[in-house]
Amino acid sequence: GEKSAEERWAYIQEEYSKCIRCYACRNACPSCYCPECFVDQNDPQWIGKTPEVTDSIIFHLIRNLHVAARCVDCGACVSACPVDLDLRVMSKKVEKEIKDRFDYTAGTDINEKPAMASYCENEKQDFIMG
Amino acid sequence: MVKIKKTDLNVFIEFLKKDFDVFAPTDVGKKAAFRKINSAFEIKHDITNTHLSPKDIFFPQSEVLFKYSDDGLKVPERDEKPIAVWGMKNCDTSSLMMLNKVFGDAHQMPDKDMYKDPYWKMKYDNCLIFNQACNEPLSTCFCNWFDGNPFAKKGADIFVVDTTDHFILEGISDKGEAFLAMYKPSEETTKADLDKIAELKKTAESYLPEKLDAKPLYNNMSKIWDEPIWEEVSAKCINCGACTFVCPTCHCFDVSDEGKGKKGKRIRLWDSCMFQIFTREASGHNPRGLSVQRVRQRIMHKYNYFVDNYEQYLCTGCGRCVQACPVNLDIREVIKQVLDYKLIKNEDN
Repeated sequence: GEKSAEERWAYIQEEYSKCIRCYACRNACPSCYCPECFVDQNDPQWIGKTPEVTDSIIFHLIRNLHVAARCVDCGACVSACPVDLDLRVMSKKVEKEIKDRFDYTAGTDINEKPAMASYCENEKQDFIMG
Repeated sequence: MVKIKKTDLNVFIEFLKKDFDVFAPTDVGKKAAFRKINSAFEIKHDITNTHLSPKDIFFPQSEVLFKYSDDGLKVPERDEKPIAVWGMKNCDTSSLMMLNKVFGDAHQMPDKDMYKDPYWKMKYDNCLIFNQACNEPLSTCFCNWFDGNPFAKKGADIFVVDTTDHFILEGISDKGEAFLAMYKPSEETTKADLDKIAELKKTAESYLPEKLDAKPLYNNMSKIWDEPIWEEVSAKCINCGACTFVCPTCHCFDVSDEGKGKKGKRIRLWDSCMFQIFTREASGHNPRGLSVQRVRQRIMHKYNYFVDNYEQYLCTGCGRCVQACPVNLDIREVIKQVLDYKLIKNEDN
């Protein structure tokens, strides 16, 4: 059956505590092409560099959000990871959110404007106050 | 020598735990790594070696050097018990000796105590290493290229052989012999045991690749820094850093402060020559900003620069990089390419 919220959070903590922050996932990803990655910035420093679980979770959350609506589930990150992390637990959730909010699936229609790169006057704005 | 039944290993580990914090190969998710264990039942026996090296026992991935506040600096206290490591293989034992040259001995200036790393020495100087023989080297193993052997005893405090139903332990260093003398074994080692060990050694050696003469490697490396070989070698590397993190000899580190206002801590953490900002300077200048430059840096550090400074290759042929690399960049192929390379730009003297 479905896990409770507590069980799911415990799973994520347990899994991502194993991340060794080698950034193989980021380097293998075809959508990660920033000339300067946010983890390499130190003025300001956005996240801690140690493999402490809160920093590791933040790294993966931010990376997944940065590639949101561009990740096609190619699996290169999973394949590159030297510790076999379950990276899809986050990426699939982001994919689902994109589908629910914008009815968009990356990589299926070459003529469709990418969801995060286009403005639509009628799209849901429930996350904005007022 | 001490002979223990495998089913009695728990008794031995409990005995060891009285005086030591015991580390051993254990499951970490789907992979294996060295972690502190509380009982022998946590030890993973069915692998030749772990995916992550034991260097992080002595050189942790992140280590708080000190905390700072209005009250001044405070160095973290270490636990009282020394460290014992069960199940280390010869490639890792040799790697730790190399890291000790860097951190513990200040190899080039051994009489200058201020250059010896107290954080390393606190853990390594008193440790007890159980060096276990590899009965079945992997297809990625090549320790014999760098003076290693699956049954090598160099650097061990205690040498252990798995003879199917038993572990045979032999004291190698004074520390190891003294420790074993305190343990009362239940069985005597027999000639049959020694014959079995010799047989296992012969079988293990048959698994290894053909021995490569690595001696010309240093000389070839010295001549090819600006040759075009590196474009081909580095072509598929994605600079992910996996190789440097699983490697038992890689030891580059970064220092980072994490704090807020007047309170915080200074942390030493693993860095990697594969990372894009590895050599980025405060001015913004980055002398090794290209992938090809950084791949060359890694290979030359391991097989040339370290020899200049420490008189040995910074590689023990453990093969973890070969296993971890997502693009199958095989360092053995790079070594062969360098050995076979015909100079283009420079005169071949």
